[in-house]
Amino acid sequence: MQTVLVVEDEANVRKLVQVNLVSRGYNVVEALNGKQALAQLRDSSPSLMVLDIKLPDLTGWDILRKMTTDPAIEDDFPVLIMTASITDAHLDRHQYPNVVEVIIKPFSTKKLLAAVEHAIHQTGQGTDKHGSGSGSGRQPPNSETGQS
Amino acid sequence: MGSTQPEATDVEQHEEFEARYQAKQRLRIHYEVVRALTDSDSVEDTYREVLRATCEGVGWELGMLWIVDHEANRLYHAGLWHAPTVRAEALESSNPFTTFARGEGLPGRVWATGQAIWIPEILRDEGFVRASSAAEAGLHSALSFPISSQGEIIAIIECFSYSIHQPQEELLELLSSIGGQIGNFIERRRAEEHIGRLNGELHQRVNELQTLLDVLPVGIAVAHDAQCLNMSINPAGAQLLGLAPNANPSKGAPSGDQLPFKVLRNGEEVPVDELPMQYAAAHREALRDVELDVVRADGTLLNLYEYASPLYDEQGEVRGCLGVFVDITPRKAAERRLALQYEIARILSESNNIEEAATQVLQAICTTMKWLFGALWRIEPESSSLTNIGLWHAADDRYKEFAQATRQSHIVNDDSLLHRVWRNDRSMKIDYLREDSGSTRARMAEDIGLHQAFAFPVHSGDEVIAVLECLSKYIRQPDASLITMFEAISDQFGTFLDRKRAEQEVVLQSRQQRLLAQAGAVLSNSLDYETCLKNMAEMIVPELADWCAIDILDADEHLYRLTAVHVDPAKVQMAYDMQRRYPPNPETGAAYQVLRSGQSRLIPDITDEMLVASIKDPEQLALARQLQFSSAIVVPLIARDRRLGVLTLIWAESARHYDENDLILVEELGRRAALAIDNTQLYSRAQELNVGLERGVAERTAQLEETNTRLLEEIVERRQAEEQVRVLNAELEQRVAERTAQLERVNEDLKKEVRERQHSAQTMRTLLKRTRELHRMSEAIGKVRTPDQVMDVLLKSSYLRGVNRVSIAIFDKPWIEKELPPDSCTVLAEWNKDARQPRFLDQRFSLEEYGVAPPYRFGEPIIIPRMKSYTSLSEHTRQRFADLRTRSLIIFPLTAVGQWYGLLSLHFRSRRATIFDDPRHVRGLVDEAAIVIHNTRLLASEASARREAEEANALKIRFLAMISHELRTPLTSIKGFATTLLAEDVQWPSEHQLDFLQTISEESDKLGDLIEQLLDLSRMEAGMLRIVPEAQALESVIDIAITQLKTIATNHKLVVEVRPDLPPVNVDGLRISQVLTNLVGNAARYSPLQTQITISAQHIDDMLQIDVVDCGPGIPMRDRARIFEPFRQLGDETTGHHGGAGLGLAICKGLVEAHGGQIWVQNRSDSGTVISFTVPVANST
Repeated sequence: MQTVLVVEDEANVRKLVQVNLVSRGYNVVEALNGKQALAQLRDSSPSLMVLDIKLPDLTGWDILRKMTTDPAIEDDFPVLIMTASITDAHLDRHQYPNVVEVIIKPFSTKKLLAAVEHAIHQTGQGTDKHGSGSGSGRQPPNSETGQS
Repeated sequence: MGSTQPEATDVEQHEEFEARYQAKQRLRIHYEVVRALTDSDSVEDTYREVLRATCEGVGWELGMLWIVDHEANRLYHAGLWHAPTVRAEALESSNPFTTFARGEGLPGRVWATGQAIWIPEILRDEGFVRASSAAEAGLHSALSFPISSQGEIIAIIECFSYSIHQPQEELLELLSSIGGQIGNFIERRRAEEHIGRLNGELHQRVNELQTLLDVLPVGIAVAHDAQCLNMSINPAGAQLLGLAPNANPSKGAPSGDQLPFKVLRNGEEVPVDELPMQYAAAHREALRDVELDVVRADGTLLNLYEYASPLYDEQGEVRGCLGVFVDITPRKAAERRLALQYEIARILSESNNIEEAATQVLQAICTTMKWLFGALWRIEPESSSLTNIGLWHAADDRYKEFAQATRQSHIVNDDSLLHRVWRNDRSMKIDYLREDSGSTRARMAEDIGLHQAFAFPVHSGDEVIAVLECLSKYIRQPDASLITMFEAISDQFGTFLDRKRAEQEVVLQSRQQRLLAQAGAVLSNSLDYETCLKNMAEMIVPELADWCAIDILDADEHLYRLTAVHVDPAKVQMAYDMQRRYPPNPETGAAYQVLRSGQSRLIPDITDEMLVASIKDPEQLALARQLQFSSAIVVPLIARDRRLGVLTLIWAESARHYDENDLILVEELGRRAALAIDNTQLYSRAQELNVGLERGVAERTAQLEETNTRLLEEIVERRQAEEQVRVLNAELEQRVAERTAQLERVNEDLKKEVRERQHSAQTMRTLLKRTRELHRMSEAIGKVRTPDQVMDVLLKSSYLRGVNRVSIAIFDKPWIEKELPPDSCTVLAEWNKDARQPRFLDQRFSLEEYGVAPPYRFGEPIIIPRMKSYTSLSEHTRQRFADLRTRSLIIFPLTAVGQWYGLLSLHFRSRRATIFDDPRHVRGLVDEAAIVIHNTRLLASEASARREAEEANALKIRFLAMISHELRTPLTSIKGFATTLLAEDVQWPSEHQLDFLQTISEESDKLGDLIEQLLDLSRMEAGMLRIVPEAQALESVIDIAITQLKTIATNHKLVVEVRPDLPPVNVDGLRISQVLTNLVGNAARYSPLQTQITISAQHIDDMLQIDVVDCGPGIPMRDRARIFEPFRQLGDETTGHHGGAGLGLAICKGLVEAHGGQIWVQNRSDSGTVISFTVPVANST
């Protein structure tokens, strides 16, 4: 099952992302702030990270930077930025290569789901490049359904 | 036959028997005496035995012995014998003390007559003095005979009998004869005893002597024959000479060559016949204190004192010789070393250079220590080698070649003795030079018989700077004192080297001083600078240069050659020719470059490449090469910033080179020369002025003289007429006096005029100087950019010498003429001479406090030469200046673009500052400064306005971004859940649908509140917030909010502590309840669940203060000032939980301030936050 890490401080927005992804076969892990997010990432790498920019302790950009320098984090997964600021949409792709797309709040569920699908499949996360025995929880949702 | 004639026979028979008996008795006596003599062991024994034998032989009962004491001339009792039957205690006890004189008593008579005496009855004899005691003892007959030896009586024997015996002549004769025998015997025995004693003593003495010889630490030799061939020597002597103990050194060895040691005197070997013992024996002469050196078989050397004395036999012929040797080696060594040290000290104190000292020191050391070769090696640390700088060797051709090889040589061998001494910093030696591996010198030394080498380090401070090396033919073991001595010599040498170095420096310095002094003398010698400089150039050659040239800058900025000096005039001509044919290029010539840069140039080494590079013309190059330049110094001549010319010094044929020290000296010469030029130029100008003055004086003097002459003529005339007009004399004298006084007055006037002229010239010079300075400062002020820099420039002015404090203050508003002055001014910049003085930067002062007091003179400087008595200022202000130690003050106005905008004040500790003479000079400067300061302030205020505008813009952008974010967040939930519900691919359970709709509703409310808050905020900012205040009790305001408050604080304990006696407040109830709701909402949001939230109120002046207290974590000090700004929020990092848009406190602030109150965060030491606000009390408005 594909695991998605959702980093968002607003409880309702977090809930919104969670119910929509879970209902479509994703495994969702949540983080309320930057500190929790980095702790999660050190623990295991998700198939995708959905990241809010305005967090109480760190910004989303801080987390992306720390990811690349922290030796305990494998930063080879795509990231979907979720922000209320339109200025955040114009980011330097070279500086944050993991960022696949930036979606601006407010957004429709359709848009969110399309962005998630796109991020996971476009970047090859849909095929299990690490092999089935990796245990990283990155199997595509259809392989999970296929088993059940 | 005897029986036939009995009577006749009896008589005959009796007579015959008597005769036989007497003969037998005599025989017995003789026999007994002889036996006694032979049996006795000593003389005393002999006497006793003879006495006994005589008495027994005679058959008498008692005998006495008397011995002659020739010295006392008396007889004394020497023994008594009696028959065992006799009781003779009385005689025995009295006799020992009895003595007889010659002729006294019986023994005295025998002694006097020399004849034996027989007394038949002593009682009848008148001459027997002891008759009474004899009678008492019962003695009757006595006989006495002498014992004599060689015709002299030595003892008397007495015999006594209890019976009366008639004298028998034969017996007496016999006894007399026996007495002679006994005397001879005793005499012989006595002689024997004496000889025995003498023998014993002799033996003892011989023993003692032998012991003495064995133990004496002095060498003693005895020759047993006149040729000194057979000789004995004591152990000490054997040891000294290096012989086996008890060896006989010269037995059978008359030739000196065969002695196991060599004897030297003053270094020369002594022939055998001149050795002291041989000489003493041969010449029958005792020798004393002969000083000799002995070289023992093992090569060691000994210093001896020898004494020799011939021995004679009974005939007075020489039979041998006695020699005594004393070892004086240690004493001689100490003496030599002491003498050596004195000698070295003397040499070092008298020597002029190291080489001279080295040779003498080495000679002294070697001759004293009997070393044959010495060398001093200087250490060259750079090349790690040693260089020979001095040597000495004994006068022997053998050493000359070795000396030649040593002289000026370098030793780089790391393992040589010299290197090891250097490296280990201690003295070392090699006994056999062939062991000094790898040294060709060592092999050479061995070949010429030098075996042992000593080497000692020479120090300067802690550093080894040289090594001293000595070579010797003989092998000697160094002792501690030798090492000590060489350490001392090394120190002496080191000190010498240090001193020489210091002396050389002093010589160098004194040479420079002398040159400078000479230059000074030459330069001040004449007022014609050309002569001076030519003289100076003459002086420099040849001491400091082969060439000296001086070039002077003329009015066209070209250098012309004033002088060129060389010892050879032909060369000087050549240099002039060259200068004419190839004048230096003003662009590239070295002299011009030096003159332009003002920097001296030192060329330590002029190479041919340099010539080739700088000279293009081949002919000129050939000429230059011919001059053989080796080094040069080119120095600019500059005085008072004026470039006057160039001084050039060159070494050529002497092939010497300049260094930095020379450069310093030449620069000094250059400075002095430049000064001389400048002085003479100044002088000539002054001279011109003076000439004018002098001409005036001369004219006046001529007039005076003329008058004087006329007067004199008059006086002469008057005098001639004196005889005739005596009456007019007084009048004449009167007139003379008047004229004299007149003349004096004229003279005085003239002097005064001269003084005035001089004074005005002085004033002119001062004025010129100041104008020049003002011009320079004006230029400098034009370049600065800040008020502080302006002050720095001003402070450099000589006018402001002595200034204690400078400050620049700006008026609150510009001072327009004929309008009221501004109230105050603010200090913009300041400078204090004493950094400890108080600073007033950015402080505001009234004009009076700053020193400006009415009556005001618009735009004029204020000069207060004596602050203490300047009563226009208040006592308080004057005290303030006194505290700053300001005794005098000048305040200049600062004006720009027609406005008087500020003040510049100069504080002085004294009133003697130059500026007080004429402050107008500085005024111009300050005016320029004022414009600069004005401009800098304009620039600063423009920059500040721009910065503020930029900040406001940034704030606006930030504000919009925040609003956008805050609005979009609830919208995200609303839109998200709405589209979630609309999704076609998922069929949501109904409870989920309900939850989503609930969330949409909540977020819509939030959005509504937010928009309301934003509207409030924008109304406030636009001043359009409507407040409708009315008097009401605080409680009723709280009542409006209480339901909402309770909802907010559901999970907390809400306590309202409002006393009912508080006055009513004049507020818009809805708005203040909105404030309370906001504050309690914040408290509930940030404090732990179930903790207390308190609302309390108190009456302070005409306000009510309301406090909202919670038990939360409190607000950090750094955030307190900003929490009332919009969109400020205290993030909770641990939970990420916060609510609201961060507008609440900003709105509260707006609402409270709209009521005329204030809102703030209280400082509380314990945890929790207290937000307080005030609202007006109703009756006060």
